[in-house]
Amino acid sequence: MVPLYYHVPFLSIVLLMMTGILTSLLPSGKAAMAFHFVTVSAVFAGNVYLLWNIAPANLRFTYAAGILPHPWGNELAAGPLEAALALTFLAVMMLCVLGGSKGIFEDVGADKQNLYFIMCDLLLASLLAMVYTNDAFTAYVFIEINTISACALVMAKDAGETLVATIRYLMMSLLGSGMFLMGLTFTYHITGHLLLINIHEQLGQIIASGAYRLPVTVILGLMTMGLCLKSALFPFHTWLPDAHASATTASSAILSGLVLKGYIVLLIKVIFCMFGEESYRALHAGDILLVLGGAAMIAGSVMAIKENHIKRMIAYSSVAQIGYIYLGLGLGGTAAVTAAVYQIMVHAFAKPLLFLCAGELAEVSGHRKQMYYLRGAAHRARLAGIGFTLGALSMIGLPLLGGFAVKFFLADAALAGGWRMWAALGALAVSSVLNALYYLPAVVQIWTVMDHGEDDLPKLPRAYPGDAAGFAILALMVCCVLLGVCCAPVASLLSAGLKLL
Amino acid sequence: MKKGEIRSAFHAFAAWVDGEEWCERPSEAAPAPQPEAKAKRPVNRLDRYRVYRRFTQLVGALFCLTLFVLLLGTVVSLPPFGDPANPANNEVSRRYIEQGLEETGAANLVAGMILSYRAFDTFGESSVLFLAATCVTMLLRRDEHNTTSGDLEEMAQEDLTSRRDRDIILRTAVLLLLPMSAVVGVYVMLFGHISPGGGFSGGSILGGGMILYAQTFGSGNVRRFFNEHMYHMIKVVCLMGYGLLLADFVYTGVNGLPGHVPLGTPGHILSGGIILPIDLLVGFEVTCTIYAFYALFSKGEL
Amino acid sequence: MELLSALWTQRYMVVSVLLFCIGAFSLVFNPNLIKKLIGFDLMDNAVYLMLTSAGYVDNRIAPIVTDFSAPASAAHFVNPIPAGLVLTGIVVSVSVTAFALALVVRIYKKYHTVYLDVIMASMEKEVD
Repeated sequence: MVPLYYHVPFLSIVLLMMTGILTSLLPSGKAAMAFHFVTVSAVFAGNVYLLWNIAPANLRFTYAAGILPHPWGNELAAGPLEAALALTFLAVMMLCVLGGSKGIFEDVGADKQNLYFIMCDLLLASLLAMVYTNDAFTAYVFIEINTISACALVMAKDAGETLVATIRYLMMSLLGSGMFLMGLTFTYHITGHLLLINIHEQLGQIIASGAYRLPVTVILGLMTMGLCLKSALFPFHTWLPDAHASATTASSAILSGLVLKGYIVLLIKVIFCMFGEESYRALHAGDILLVLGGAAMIAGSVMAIKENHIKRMIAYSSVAQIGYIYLGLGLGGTAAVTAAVYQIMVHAFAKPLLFLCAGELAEVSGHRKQMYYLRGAAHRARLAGIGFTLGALSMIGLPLLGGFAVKFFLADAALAGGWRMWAALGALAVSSVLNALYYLPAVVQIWTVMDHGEDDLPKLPRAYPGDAAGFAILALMVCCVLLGVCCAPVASLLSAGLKLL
Repeated sequence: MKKGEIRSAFHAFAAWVDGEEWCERPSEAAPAPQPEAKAKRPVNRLDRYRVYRRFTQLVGALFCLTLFVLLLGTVVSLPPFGDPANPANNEVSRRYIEQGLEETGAANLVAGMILSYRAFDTFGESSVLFLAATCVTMLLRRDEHNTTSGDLEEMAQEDLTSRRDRDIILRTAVLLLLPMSAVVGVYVMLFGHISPGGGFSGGSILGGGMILYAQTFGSGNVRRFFNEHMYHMIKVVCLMGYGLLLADFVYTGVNGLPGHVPLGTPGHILSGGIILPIDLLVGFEVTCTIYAFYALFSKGEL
Repeated sequence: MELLSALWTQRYMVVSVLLFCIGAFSLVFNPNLIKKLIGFDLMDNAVYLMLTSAGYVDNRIAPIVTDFSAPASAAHFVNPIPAGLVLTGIVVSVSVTAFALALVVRIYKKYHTVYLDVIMASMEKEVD
């Protein structure tokens, strides 16, 4: 008999999928939400148990999700890195749904609310599968589940603009998954395997022997580009602002906090488990990611400065923040990739915080999202104002907050020298200043006391967030601060997990 | 013919191939007479988009051409087509062929492979179908957002015509075809593990039969034996059954215990362990889903 | 000449690559939503053709055992793995196509056109 915690990854995924399936029988959205919370809490507890058991022993194990292990059957693999990421995703999903629940019940039609939670369940299952999988084709199947459910979350708010945003998002995602599948096919052609471990072995031999040079380069290009398309790296980000800004609050938070990250985790697996870091870097793919990441950090911020719609501004800021992750991946080496993974976690907490607070602030300003109307909104919704300020400061990189830790780790890892150091440090410096340039005015705007004499804004009443939303905002704030304060133990856990990949 | 004529004939032909004459671009119809105030803005937004589109299409064409050349180069250097010594014919495929029958009990080695060695993928695949059905329900099930009174009238009119219009040839043909599609569908599902077929193909055939029936006799008649409640029940029961079978299968497999479902005699209908029940469950789920797609797209309800 | 003979050997894959590029172009750059979807299906089918041709071996038959007297020999049957992957892939692309078509139906009901550029232009007017 294998130890009990070995079953956790498989059971988490299957349990979440079954929850989604059963939810279609539930009569109301409220019941569906309760069921969602029960399952996610149970899965969360299971993953805590898993991390508790494998982190001290620094253990990474594989689990045959069929009758035979690799190279014959489907397989899952779990180590400290995977377990930590899965826990982050579970926690963020729960808080996003909790914080945005009011919006869900307002924006989604009454008889379709339970369907929304099916999407949440299956999205979470696919994210966990992408984190835990050790099989390239399983990754493809779950990428498609992720794509469809993410698109469904965007279109759940049934309005014209969300439908158009959804179809644009869907088309770009389909191109990305098509490229990934083509790369996978070529890989199967030259290696004859689908399990990441065996592909790694075979590719290592092929690269060492110098055969199939062009196919290997093309595979790397297709897979990397497909995943970059889906995670909105800079030149491919055009679909992101519409999709993220027009959806209901919970969907915006889930999309920018979780969905983009899932693909990046998969890219990390492609780099480390499939190609091996040295061979990946030998083909200069790392340098390209570095340059694109740096460009995204600057271009995303510039576009955010020009925007005066608060949700679109936050969405463009996601483009910049994704750039940080790619910068870390491009720099290479355990330290830089740890920083990238750390940024995945920090951004997963900070961006939903910003979206939830922006949703609350817009609500107390009469559902208007232009910066002009948000003046003084923080006085009408104190907690949301504080949350927005904290999230913004974390994005700018104030010490003791998560964003600072990421920038510190990245700068530290970049110090190795060469042109990469100058590129990374330059991008970090410029983008920090640019971040401040659009987040600080927004913070000042929401805290400015309104002068009713000359203003055409009506006096709006103060509002308090519901218990659920308040709790979610508080919890996300605590997580942001915790990630800033306890950065050393978390980072050491992540880098230990990374070395095991 | 002169040069210009050839070119315009070619354009007409290209438009015909593209089906343009059937979906007229609304923008290219004569623009509505503009009021005086709008005269200040001579450049139409759409024109701007069109120029932009020309440009992106050019860039895109170049990009796709480059991609094509790259992929062509890749393909030429891949292992040759049909060669037994290719890397893909390695120990993995050899094991599936030589021990597949013994380990899974299924004579159809492909079915044996996707439902036992790679059963997890296939559960994901069934969930994608479930997910798509849910999304289509979300988008197309009738509610105040997506239906106007005109739509309802149109649908009532269609129902009326279909009830009045007793086309004897169509009805007789469908009545002849229906039993056949039912038998073939169930056969393909039942024998999926010993001959070509399986849950998905069998379910599509059965679902196609149901669509045929609904087209000829009206969906009201289908609703007598298959309504929305039943659709949800069948879908959920099938997928849950599949999930539980899979969980049990993986749990016993990982722990090295013998499976709960006997493998049976190879080549007989009762063989293949969990493959036969899963094929049946997936088959019924697919039948429901295919019919639900039809009903939601055409009527907005089941 | 050598290139030509290599292209002939790999003819299925060459066709598949051609279809893939046509599909990708149509998916991204055609303003008509229905044609975009056709492009997507072309692209996916191209990949399935590529996968199937990866599994084919000359002079071998489909992997279904009919003779149970002796253990199956790998020299008789083609590779079963790509066939299985294609089966899974087809279901996935059917589902995605159904979802996307439903979206197009809704968009058509709302904007009375399937041309994305026309829709984008009219949306910009709404904002004005």
